[in-house]
Parts: sequence; structure tokens; C-alpha cells
Amino acid sequence: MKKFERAAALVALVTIILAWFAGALRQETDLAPFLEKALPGAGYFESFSPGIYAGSSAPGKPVIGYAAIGKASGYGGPMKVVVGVDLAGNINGIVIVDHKETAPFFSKVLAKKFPSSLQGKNYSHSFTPGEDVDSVSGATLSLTALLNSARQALRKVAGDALNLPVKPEKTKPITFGFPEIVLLLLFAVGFSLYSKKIKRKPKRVLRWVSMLTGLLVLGFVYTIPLSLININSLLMGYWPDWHTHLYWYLLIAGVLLPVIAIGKSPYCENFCPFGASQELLKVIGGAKQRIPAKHHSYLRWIQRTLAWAVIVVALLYRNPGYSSYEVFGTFFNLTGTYIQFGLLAIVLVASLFITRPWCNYLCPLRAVSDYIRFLRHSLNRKPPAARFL
Amino acid sequence: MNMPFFTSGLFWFLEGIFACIMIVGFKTWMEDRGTPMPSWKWILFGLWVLVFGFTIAFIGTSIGEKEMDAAVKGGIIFSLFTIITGVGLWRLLKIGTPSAKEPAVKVDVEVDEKI
Repeated sequence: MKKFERAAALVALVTIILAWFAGALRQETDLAPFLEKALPGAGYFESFSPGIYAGSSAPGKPVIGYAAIGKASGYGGPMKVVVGVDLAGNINGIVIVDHKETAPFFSKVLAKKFPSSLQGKNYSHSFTPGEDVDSVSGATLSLTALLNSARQALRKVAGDALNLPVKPEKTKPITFGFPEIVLLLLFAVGFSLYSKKIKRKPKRVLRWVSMLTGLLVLGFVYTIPLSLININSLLMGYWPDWHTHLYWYLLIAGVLLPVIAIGKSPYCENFCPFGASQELLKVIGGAKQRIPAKHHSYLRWIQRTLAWAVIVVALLYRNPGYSSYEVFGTFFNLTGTYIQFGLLAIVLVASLFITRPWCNYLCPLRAVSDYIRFLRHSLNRKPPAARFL
Repeated sequence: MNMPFFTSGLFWFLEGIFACIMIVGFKTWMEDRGTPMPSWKWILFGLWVLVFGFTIAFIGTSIGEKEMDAAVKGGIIFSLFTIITGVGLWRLLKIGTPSAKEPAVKVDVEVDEKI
């Protein structure tokens, strides 16, 4: 079994590396059709400066507008748009070239008539949701990516091509608010629970407090649990601006570093919002069932294979959320496909009778943690820790 | 889809008979199990029946309105709520039930060990 585990670990690593390179070699999208859509009436485009194209009806004819590429980070990775701008600095048309957002969430943005509702916006607009553009609840990061990319392209044309008086961009303030504070506190509590100085009963109380806080704040209020999409983004090099995505970095570092350093995950064990919801259901249903060791092992391998497949497909298509089957968004935001709703229903009902079925047998993050633990223990020449949560 | 039976008095008459049989059957079953049913358990049971009825009504009316997306997604959400509260309720209803090792009814006759 040990030899098989080592061979599987090696095969997984090699295939993931190959998928990474194969994904990186995929051709860049041809921009020509997007430029024509963004600036209707222009049939001929000439490169004006990097990322900006001057559009005219035919070669040698006067320029009727400019089209520029804008990029900004969303939930899953960078979003790329082409914005057509008229000579007065107004948006003429806008087309999304590429995005890495999760489909059910991004469809909320599209349902609010974005990006076409940005037509007519001027370079002096701030593109602030709720002020000069509509806001979209439950898809804030996706909307922000779209607005920032459009605004960036528009300002680029206004400043570089049209020589309009564009106000200098303000330095982005570091986003450090309630979710970041709660996350740091929860990590502190999570680590303190490993201490032998705290007695069993207060430990139990503290764990429930941290689980319920995670469930309410990270789950239901802010809907920002850790997902495989975050890990995929990390692997693909889609690292967002830390000023505006400090939470993202704190969460990833807080989850991965302890697993690498001490082989433990305070997030998964003590305050993962979906884990907490399963523990609550365990209390309601009085779950006592443990899967027999033989089946447990098979199910674990299915979990690992699924996680591996999702990572490989995401790397091949260069889209972190491409094949995600996680049900966090479905549970906390009531957004998802029929399959995700069905899977969520099965997991929640199973949680009444089996201890944390998602964490133990389906969660791809658990498989990632197991893999890191396996490598860690292999290097330390110690057997891997395999236990139920 | 016109289904006059479901809006007729006969349907509600049969539905009432069915509900009575279910409730009386449930009461008798709990008595056979030796499970005490104080008023708070009946109130919780009644509330759960309302939740169950609401779930069925939601799915039925959504299908009737041809809102299939609402019927499926809302149906899953409300069915989940009904199942979860149902399991919780069942554990509460079981309170006071004698375990399988104990006799369901206490024997009043004391056995004289000297005999």
C-alpha cells in the first residue's frame, strides 16, 4: 500500500506539472472580433500603444475611437475586457474577452445587464457600485473585477490616446476590516486549541464558539470560505493585489502553512464554515456512524482522485473554477447548478448520520492537505496521519 | 393542466379522512412503543406537519405556475429543512421511550424469591 501511495503521489505531481505547462502553452485569444464588437463602426484597427488600438472605418480614414484592453482580478482569477471608447472619452461598447469566475455567480452580474449597462459611462466616473453603477448582491468580487477592468481600459484611452485630463489613480488602501480581524482571531483560537495547557471542557466550548463564528461570519455573512478555486488560482499564478485581497492571502497562508509546518489545519478542524454546518447537523441527527475502515479507504481514494482531476482540468483550461464541484456557494449563497443543489442535499442529509461526510469523503481541500501531509511525512520518514475529523 | 378533482369537496373530504387516520395511527404507534406524548411533543409535531405541508404546497404550486427552477431548487431547500427538522424532532419525540433492554410496561407483581 505504501508503494502504491508513493507511486500515486508521484503520478499526481507529474500530471499536475504537465497540465500546468500544457495550460500555459494554450494560445492567446484572437482579439480582432472583440475589438470590432467593442467599437461598432470601426472595421480597421491599428495598434496605437501597448493595449490600445485606434479604430477607423478603413485604412487611412480618420480615427473614430479607440479600443483598449483592461484586466483586473476577480474571485477566480483575472478578467480581461475590451472597451471601445469614442473621441469624447465615453464607453461605446464593452466585451468580456476572458474571465475565471464561477458561472452561477457571474450569471448574477450578467442578469443585471452588465457589461452593456456601462455604455455611455465617462472616464471621470468612479464606477462605484451603488453610486454611478448598479450593485449586485452575492457577486461582489466578480462585479468589482468587471468594473475595475473597464475603468482601467477607459482611463488608459482617455489619458494616453485622447489626452484628456484624467485624475491620477489614488493609492489603493489596504482592505483590513471585520472579516480579516475575525479570520485572524479564529486562527489564533484554532492554534490555541492545540495547546495542552487548556483543559478539555473549555477547549470544547472554545471550539464550538469558533465553529459558530466561522459559520455565521465567514459563511453566511461574508460568504468567503476557502475553496479549491483559491488553491488553483495560487497554482496558476493569479495572485490578486494584496491591498484589496488581504483576506485571500491570510486565508491561504493560514490554511497551507500550518499543514506544511506542523501537519495540522486549524481552519478545517475548527472553523471551516461548511465543516461547522456538518457538525451542527451531527448534533441534530446524533450521527454516530463511522464508515468501515475498508470502505473508508476506498472513499478516500475517490476523494483524492476527484481533487486531482479537478486540479488537472483547471490547469489545462487555465480556469481555477472550471470543474469545481464544491457546494459552499450553493449552501451559503443559494447559488449553484442543479447538480450542486442535489449534491448539497445528499451531503446535508448524510451529515445527520455520518460524521462530516463532505470533509472526510468529498472535500478536495482535504485531499490537498492529505497530499501535503503525505509529502511532509515521507520526507520525515514517518507514517502519514490518517484520521477522521 | 385542469384537474378539477383537486379543487373539489371530495378531495378535501378524503384528505381529512387520510389526515385523521395518520394522526390516530401515529398516536397508537407511539403508545405501542411506550413513548410518552406530552403536549409539547404534540405542538412540535403539529408545527413539523405544517412545515411538511408547506414544502409539498411550495413544490406543487411552483410546478402549477410552471416555475420549474423554483420547484427544483426551492423544493430541495425546503425538503432539506423538513428532513433535518424531522430527524431532530424524531430524536426529541423518542425522549422517555424505554430502551429495548427494559420492558415497555413495568410489572407490578413482585416475585417472592423464597418460593
